[in-house]
Amino acid sequence: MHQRSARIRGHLAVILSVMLKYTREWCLCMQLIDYTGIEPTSPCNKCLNVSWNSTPSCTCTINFTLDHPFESNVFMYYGLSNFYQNHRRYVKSRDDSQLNGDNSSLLNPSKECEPYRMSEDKPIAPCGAIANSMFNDTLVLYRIDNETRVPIHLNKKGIAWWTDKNVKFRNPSGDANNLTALFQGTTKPVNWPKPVYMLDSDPDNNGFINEDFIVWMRTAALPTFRKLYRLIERKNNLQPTLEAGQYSLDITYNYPVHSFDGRKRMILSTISWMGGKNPFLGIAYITVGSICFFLGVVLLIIHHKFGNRNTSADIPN
Amino acid sequence: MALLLPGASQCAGEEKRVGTRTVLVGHRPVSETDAYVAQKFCDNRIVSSKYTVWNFLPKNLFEQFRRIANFYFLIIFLVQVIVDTPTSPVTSGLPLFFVITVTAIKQGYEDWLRHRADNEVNKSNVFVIENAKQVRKESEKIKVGDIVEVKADETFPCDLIFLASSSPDGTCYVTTASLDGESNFKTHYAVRDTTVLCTHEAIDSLAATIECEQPQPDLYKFVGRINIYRSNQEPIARSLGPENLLLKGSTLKNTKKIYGVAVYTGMETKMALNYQGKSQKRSAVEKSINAFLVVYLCILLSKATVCTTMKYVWQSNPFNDEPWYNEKTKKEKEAFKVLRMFTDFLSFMVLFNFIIPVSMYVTVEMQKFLGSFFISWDKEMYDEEIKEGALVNTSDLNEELGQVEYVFTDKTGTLTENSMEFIECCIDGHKYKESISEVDGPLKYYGKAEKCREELFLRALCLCHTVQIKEGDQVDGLIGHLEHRSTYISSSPDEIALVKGAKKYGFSFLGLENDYMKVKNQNNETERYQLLHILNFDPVRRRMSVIVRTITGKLLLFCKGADSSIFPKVQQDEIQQTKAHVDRNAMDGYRTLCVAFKELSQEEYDQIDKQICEAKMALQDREEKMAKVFEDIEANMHLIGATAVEDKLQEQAAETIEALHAAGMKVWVLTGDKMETAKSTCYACRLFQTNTELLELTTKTVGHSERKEDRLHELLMEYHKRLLQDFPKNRGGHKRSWMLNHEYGLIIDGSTLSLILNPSQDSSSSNYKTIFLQICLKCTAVLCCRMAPLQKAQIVRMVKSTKGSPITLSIGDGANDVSMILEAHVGIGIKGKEGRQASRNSDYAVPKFKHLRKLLLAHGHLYYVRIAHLVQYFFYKNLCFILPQFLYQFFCGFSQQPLYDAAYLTMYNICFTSLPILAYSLLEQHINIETLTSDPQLYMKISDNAMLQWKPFLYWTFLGAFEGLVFFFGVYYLFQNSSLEDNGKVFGNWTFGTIVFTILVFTVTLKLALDTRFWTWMNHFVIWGSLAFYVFFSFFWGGIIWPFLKQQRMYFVFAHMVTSLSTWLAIILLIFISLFPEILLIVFKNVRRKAQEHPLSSCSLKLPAITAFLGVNKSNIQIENQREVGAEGTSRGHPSSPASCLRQHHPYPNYPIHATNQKCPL
Repeated sequence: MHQRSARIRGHLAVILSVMLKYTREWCLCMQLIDYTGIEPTSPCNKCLNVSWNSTPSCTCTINFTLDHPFESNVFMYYGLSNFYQNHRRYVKSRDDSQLNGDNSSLLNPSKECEPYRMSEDKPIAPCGAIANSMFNDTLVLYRIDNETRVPIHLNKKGIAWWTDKNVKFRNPSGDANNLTALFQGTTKPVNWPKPVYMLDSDPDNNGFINEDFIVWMRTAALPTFRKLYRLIERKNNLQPTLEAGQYSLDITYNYPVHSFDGRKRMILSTISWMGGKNPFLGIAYITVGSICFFLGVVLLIIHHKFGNRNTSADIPN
Repeated sequence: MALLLPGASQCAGEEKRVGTRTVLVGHRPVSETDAYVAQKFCDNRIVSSKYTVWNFLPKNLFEQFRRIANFYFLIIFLVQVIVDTPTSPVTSGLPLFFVITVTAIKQGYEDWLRHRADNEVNKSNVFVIENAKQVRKESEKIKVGDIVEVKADETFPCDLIFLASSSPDGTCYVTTASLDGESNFKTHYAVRDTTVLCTHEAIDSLAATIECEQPQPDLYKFVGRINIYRSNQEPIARSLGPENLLLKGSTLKNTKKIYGVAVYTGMETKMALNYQGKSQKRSAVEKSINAFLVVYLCILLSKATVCTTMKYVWQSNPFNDEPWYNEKTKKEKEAFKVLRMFTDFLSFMVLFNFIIPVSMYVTVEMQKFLGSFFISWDKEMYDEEIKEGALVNTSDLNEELGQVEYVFTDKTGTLTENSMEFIECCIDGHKYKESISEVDGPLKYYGKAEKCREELFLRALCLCHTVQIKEGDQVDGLIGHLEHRSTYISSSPDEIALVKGAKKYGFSFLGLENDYMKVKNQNNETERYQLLHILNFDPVRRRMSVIVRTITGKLLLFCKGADSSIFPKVQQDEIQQTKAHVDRNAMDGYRTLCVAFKELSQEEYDQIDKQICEAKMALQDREEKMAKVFEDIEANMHLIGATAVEDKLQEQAAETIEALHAAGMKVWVLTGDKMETAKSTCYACRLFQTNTELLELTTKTVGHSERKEDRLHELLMEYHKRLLQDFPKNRGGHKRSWMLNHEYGLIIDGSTLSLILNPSQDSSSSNYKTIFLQICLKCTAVLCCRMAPLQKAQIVRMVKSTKGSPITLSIGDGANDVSMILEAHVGIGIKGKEGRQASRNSDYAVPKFKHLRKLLLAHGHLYYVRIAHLVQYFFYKNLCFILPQFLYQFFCGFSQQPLYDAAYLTMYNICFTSLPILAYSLLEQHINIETLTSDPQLYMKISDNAMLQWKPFLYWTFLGAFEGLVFFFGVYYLFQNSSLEDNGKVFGNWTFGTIVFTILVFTVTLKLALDTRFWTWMNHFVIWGSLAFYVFFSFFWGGIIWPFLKQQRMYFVFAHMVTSLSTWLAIILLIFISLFPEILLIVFKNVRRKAQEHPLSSCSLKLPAITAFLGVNKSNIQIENQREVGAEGTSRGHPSSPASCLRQHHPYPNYPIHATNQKCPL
C-alpha cells in the first residue's frame, strides 16, 4: 500500500512541478533596477548622501530597456535591503488604536511609540518608529517613444490589504473632508516633510488610510523586502501593458539608505495566479517529486521481484 | 509462609517513641500520696487533611513551587514581568496559572474529601461514662482517660484498654477488617480484675492508672501495665498486651457492649500513625525526563548565549545598533552595558523558554492518572471468586511495569493457592495416609503406631493452634449442630488444615469456652482441657506451643513447628524415623510441620508460669524477654510425629513463570518455607527445568561445623569459576545473554544468606557479597528459602543496588511480604487469604499470580511505550516549535522579535498539540494486547529503558531540528518572492510566522497520526479536531479587532494567508518534506517485513543499501520495530521462516531465540 501511494505521490509531484516551472518561466517577467547610487557611474550617485530635510529634493533619472513585453497587469514595487523592519524595537513602535481612529489615543499615543511619541510637547500622529521612517521616494515611470517621454499611468490605489484600508486603519472620527481639523492638536512625525493629513489630495487616500502609508506599516518579515508601490493596469487586450523598449525612471531621492549600508530598488513584475516570480516552489517540487519517483520505481522493482501482491502486508492493528 | 502472623508488619513511622505515659482511668486521682503530673495528650480529632481554608492557598502554592519545573516557570514569568521581554508575561503566566490551578483544584478536592471523611469520624456520637452516667459526646471530644462504652457492630473511636464486657468471661470479638483486611474475629481479653465491672456504676468506681508506652505504629505490639487501687490495699499490677488493646478502626462483633478506657486518641492512635507517610516511589522514566530536561536546558542556555553574543557582535556596527529609522529610547541609551547584556540574555531565555514544555508535566500526570484506570477496568484481571479486579494504589509506576528485570515472588499464596489440604501424617515413623477415593472412609495405615501415641498426636493437633470456631447466628449453639453451622477460622490456613485433618481421624476441636478447650475424641466423648498458656508463633522461633491441663490434672505442653526448629529441641534419638518422612514429604512439595510434646510437673509449670507472667509484665523489651522464656520452655521435648499439608499451585503459575522468563525477566522465589518444599514447587512451576544445573548454598552443603565459613568460601569460589567459564568476559555487555547458555539455578537458605551478608570475620570474607551477587545475577532462577521477612527485603535491596540498578518487582500476599513489596521498585500484592496487608501496602494488587503476565507483558509494555513516546514527542514538538524562532533572530538583528504571535506561543502547547498526544498516550496499542501477552519476547524490546536512551532521544532531537530547519528555511525561500498573492500585495512578518506555525502544527500532529497504530474514534476526534480547532481559532483570532490588545498584529493575517495559492502549495510541500523521513521509514519497514516473509527471495536479492540504511535507523525507531516484531511473532513457526530454521539447531527448543539473532535474514 505504501509503495503504491508513494509512487502515486511521486508521479503527481513531478507533473505538478513541471507545470509550475513551465508556467512561471514562460510568462512571468520581472525588471529590477537598483537606484541606490553606490556606483559612481550611477545617475543617482549624487543623491547618495541625501538627508531627510534637504531642500530641494535630489532627483535623478535612470534609463532602462525592457527586452520582453509585459503582457498582463504590471506591479511596481520598491525594495529595500539591510533595512530591519522586523527589529523588535521597530515592530512594536506603533499605536494601532491611534491608527484605528481612536481619538484619545490620537492625542495620547501609546508608550510603545517612544522615542517617537511626542514632538515639541505635541503628540505625534501617526506615532512610532515605523510611521516616522515611512518610505518617501517618488518614482515616476516614462516610456521613451521616439525620444519623447510618455508618462505611464501609475495607479496608487488598491495596493494595501482591503481589511487594513477599511477596518484596521481609520481616520479619527469626524468630518472626513476636513482632515486638518481632525488632526488638530497633533504634530507630524519628525522625519516627515508634511503632516499625515496632507499625504494625498484624494480624501479617500489621505490621513491614516493613505495606502502607501498602510503598506509601509505592514512590517516586513526579512531585512531585504519589497513593498507594492504602484499598479500599472492593462488598458486593453490588443497591446501589452508595457511594450518592449526604452523606459526611464524619475526618482525623487529623499530616503537615505547609505548610512546603514542599505540598497533601494524599483521592481516591475507581472504576476500569475500563483503570485510573483519565485523559483523556489518549482525547484522544490521538482526535487521532491523526482526523489519520490525514483523511490517509487525502486520499490516497484522490489515489489515485482517478490511477485506478491497480497494485501496481507498491511499494518496489523 | 502462612504461619507468619505478627511482628512482620512494617510501620511507617520509624522514629522510636521513648518513654511511657500514665493514664488516670476516668480522670480519678488514685491516691493523694502519689504525685501525679498531668500529662498533655492530644484530643481525639483525626486530621488526615493537609490544608485548612486559611492555609490552603499559601501552603499549596508553596508545595507546588517546590517542584523544580514549576519553579522554573515561575522564574521565567517573573523575568517577563520585571524585564522588558519580547513576549508578554501572559504567554508563560497563563499556562503556569492553568497548571497551578488545575493541580490546586485537584488537591483541594482531594483534601475536601478528606475533610469530609474526618468530620464523619470526628462528629460521630460516642458514649462516655461520666459520674456513673452515660453521656453522649462527639467522638473528637474524647480525652485520654475517658471511659468509653462501645456497642456491638460499632467502631472503636480511639485506642482503648479493654476493661469489661457484657460477656462474663471478659472477652470480646473484634474484626480488624478495615485495618489490615483480616476478616476473622479476634478475641480480646479484658484485664482480669476488671471484668466484673460491667455496669455504669461499677465501672465508675474503678480507681486505676494505666502505664503504657508512648504510641507507636505497630498494630501488633503494645506493652502496658494497669495498677488497680482498692481502698486500703496495695495496688494490683496487671500486664497489658496487644490482646487488651482495642484499636481504633476495628469493629466490635458478637459482644453486646464493652467498656474501655482511652489510652491513645486522635492522631496518636495506631491507625492514624499507620496512615502516615508512605514513601513515594519514583519511576525510572522520570529520571530520564529530568536528564532530557537538563539537555534542553543546556540547549536553551546555549541558544540564549549565542544570540546575546551575536547581538553584540552585530551591534558593534553603529548603523546596525541604532540606524536613523529606529532610535533607542532614552532609557535604553542610559542603561549600563553589562545590565543591558544581562537583560538581553534573560529576554532570549524568555523567548526560547517554550522549548521546555510546561504542559508536559500536566500531560504526564494526566496520562498516568487516567491510564491507571485501564488496569482496574481490565476484565481479564477480574476474579470471579473474590469478585474483585486489579487495584491500582499508585499511578506513578505504570510504565515501570514495562521495565521489570527481576521478579521476586513469594511462594505460599502467590505461586500456590494457599488453600491447604491435609495429606498425610506420620506418627513415630509410621505413615498415615487417607485414601483419596473415599471421603469419610477408613484410613489406610502403613503400619501402625501404638494407640496411645496415635491419640496423643491427634490431641496435639486438636489443641496446639489458635483456630476459632465461627458459629452461625446462635452464640450458644448445640454441639450436635456445630459441625453443620460452624466453620474454623484462623489467620493461618495450615492450622485449619491440621484441625480438619485431625477431625478426619476422629478428633475434632469443638471450641474454646472459659479457658477450656473442648475436643471430641474418637469415641464421641468430649474431653476438656484447661488452656493455660499459648506461646504464640513468631517467625524467628518458627514454632508455637500451648500448655494445657488435662481433666486429670496432668500438665502438657504441645509444640508444633518447622522441622528445623523442632529437631534441635527434642531427644536426638527420636528424630531419625520422622526425618525420613519429613524429607520425603518435602520432596513431594508438601508443607511439613513436626509435633512434639512434653509433660510438665507442677513445679516446672509454676516456674514457667512465673517466668511468662514476669516477661508479660515487662514494660521494656517484652518481646525479647518473652522469646527467651519461650525458648527455655520449649526444650527437651519428645517428638511425636509430623504432618504433611499440600498447597496447590495456582492456576497457570507455571505458564506465567515461563512467560516471564521468556520475557527476559529473572524470577527469584523468596519463601520462608523449607528448601525441599520450595524446590519441588519451583520444579512444578517450571522455574527450574530438568536441565537446570542447581547450585546449592544451604546448610546442607555448607554444613554446621566451625569451618562453615571456609566451606562457604570454597563453594562460592567454585560456583563463581564455573559460571565465569560459561559466561566469558566479552559477553558481559550483553544483558540477558544467559538465555543462550547453560542454565543455572541457585538455591540459598536464610542462615547461609545471613552468613554471606553479615560475615562474622572481618575483611577476608567481606567480598562474599559481591561474589555471591555475581553468581546470583548469572543464574536463571534463584530460590531463597527459609527467609525471614527482613531478609527478603535485604535481597531485594541488594539486587536493586547492583550496577545498572535493575528494576525490581516484588509480588506477595502476606504480611511477611510487605517489607519486600515496599522495598522493590514495584510492589504487587495478591488479594490473597492472608489478610489485606500486602495489597494495602502494594502499588498494584491483583487477584491471582497469573494476572502478572498481562500486567507486565501487555499493560506494562504499553504504558512504557506510551509514556516514552509521550516524553520524546513533547521534547520533539517543542524543539521544532522554537528552532524557527531561534533562526529568525539571525534575520531580525538579534532583537528578540518573536516569530509567532503571542496567542500562538501560548496556545501551542495548551490547545493545539496537547490532546492528540494525550489520546495517543492513553490509547495506543502499537502491538495488540493478545500478541503482547502471547509473545513474551516482545517485552525485551523495551528493556533497559530502550525508548528513552540517548540514541532515540537524539533521533527525536534531530528530527525536531530537521523539521525546524525545513519550516523556517522553506518559508524563508518562499518569501524571496515579491508577492505571494495574485493581486501583488505583500505579506509582513506576522504572516511569515503564521505560515511557519501552520506548517508546524500540521506536521507535528500528522507525525503523531503516522505513529498511531491503534485508531479509535477518540484519536480521530482529537487529531482532526485539533487541526480544525487551530484553523477555526486562527480565523477567529484574526477576525476581530480585539479591544484589549495593544496591537492588532494578527488582523486578517490568517485569512489572507489562506487566499494565497502559493502559500498553500508551500505549506503542503513543506509538511510533506518534513514528514518524508518518517514516511520513507514506514515504507522501508514494510519492504523489510515483506522480505522477511519471503526469506528465500530476500536472501538472493540482498539490498545492501537499504539494509545499511535500516541498520542505521533500526535502533532509533523503536516503535516501528515493535510493530514489525509483532508480525514476526505471528509468523513464527512457519517452516521457511529463518527464525525457526535457527531454532532447530538450538539446544533448548523450549526457549525463544534471543532477539539479536533475528537479524540473520538480512
